[in-house]
Amino acid sequence: MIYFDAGATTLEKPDSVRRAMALAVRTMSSPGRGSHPASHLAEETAFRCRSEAAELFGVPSPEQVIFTGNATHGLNIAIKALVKPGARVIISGYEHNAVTRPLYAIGDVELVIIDTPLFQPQQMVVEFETALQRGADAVICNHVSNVFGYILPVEEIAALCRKSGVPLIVDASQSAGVLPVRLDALGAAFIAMPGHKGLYGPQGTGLLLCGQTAPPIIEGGTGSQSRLQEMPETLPDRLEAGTHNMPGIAGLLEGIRFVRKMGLERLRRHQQQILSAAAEVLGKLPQVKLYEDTRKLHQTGVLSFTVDGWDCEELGEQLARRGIAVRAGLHCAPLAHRTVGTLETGTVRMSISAFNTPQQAAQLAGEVGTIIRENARF
Amino acid sequence: MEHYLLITRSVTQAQRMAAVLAGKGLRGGVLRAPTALNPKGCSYAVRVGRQELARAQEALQAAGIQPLHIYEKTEQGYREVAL
Repeated sequence: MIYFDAGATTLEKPDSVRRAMALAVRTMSSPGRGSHPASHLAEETAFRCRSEAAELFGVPSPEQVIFTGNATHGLNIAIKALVKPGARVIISGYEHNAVTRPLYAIGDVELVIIDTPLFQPQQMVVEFETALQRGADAVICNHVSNVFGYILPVEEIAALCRKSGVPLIVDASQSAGVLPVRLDALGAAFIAMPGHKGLYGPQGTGLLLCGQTAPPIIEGGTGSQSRLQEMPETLPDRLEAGTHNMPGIAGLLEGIRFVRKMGLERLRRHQQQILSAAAEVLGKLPQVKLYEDTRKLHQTGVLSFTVDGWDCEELGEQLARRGIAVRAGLHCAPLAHRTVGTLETGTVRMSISAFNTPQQAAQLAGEVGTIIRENARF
Repeated sequence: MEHYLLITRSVTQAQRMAAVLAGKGLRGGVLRAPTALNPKGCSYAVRVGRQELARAQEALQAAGIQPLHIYEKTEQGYREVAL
């Protein structure tokens, strides 16, 4: 199978991730739960993972790095800390349901949606600035659209938030491991990210980088201050009730090491090379509409497209039958599709990892052409 | 052996302390704190040698980390030391 669904999960992982997970299953128990070697090994691994994540993401202290089950988990903690009924919240028009559903669930939230066109970041900055003039309780912004790979101007938006004194939540689901993401530089209240996409860790892992503390959304054992019935005030324990996913954390640590070893610049260049290889062929097919930043300035390795006369899900299924994995539909981001005008059709999305090759991209594009031609015969 | 225990807020803070001390060439073993030093139940400590407390405190202060309590282990038991 040729796998172009890294935007959902990077299926191909470094060998070191698999090895670390297998070792953790055999040797590690729970951090903070005992004086025996199995607990100590878990503690050391968890601390190394926090520390290396803190270095990669500009977090002042490893205690501000929280292990979560995924980005959605982290976003729920962050959103529920800052947004209460009656709040005014400014979001981009490219948010995932991981942001919009928690906001909907809180209820009575005045949502201001900055739904400026694709690949026009300056217009977005202007509209965020205008919206912030009326004040807000929080700004929530995707760093990169999971549908279109659009790199939102999160640095400029963060500067506006700092100037206005409005807390910022960044969804780094598609940017962590792809672009520089730094808590210290952004001054964000929270940055949430998955471990299983650009960080090459396993599913069931995620990180929440905390610029401030938050109320827990679940309570339970932490291995600390056990006589108290309130959750500890101290991070990370306050937000990490229950047993840790040690195989996941051990795998995530190796994934982070892989990203650091490869380097963000190299990983980004690789993605752009493959995206260009696909876009060059797909762009020559008259039936194909590409959602591409032709200047390559504001797009990561995510490329959405539609094909005239084809339902995107049917095209995705055709590609799957030919051994090519993509994602079709709304990508859990109906707001982003509404903003771009693809809510009714959805798109087919190819998303690239470090393990894809330009030849695979050419094969995907070639198969799309073949499917179109074969269909035209009948 | 006489030593000091630096009581921390979490195992992660204990590990951070140990990392700071290691960076200064000081040995700081992480361990679960004795029950008698745990009024809130279950905490972690960093053990430092008798001759190393001053240097350890200096290093932790420079790193912006403050232990909750410091106890001296003597033949008679634990005695709290003023921070």
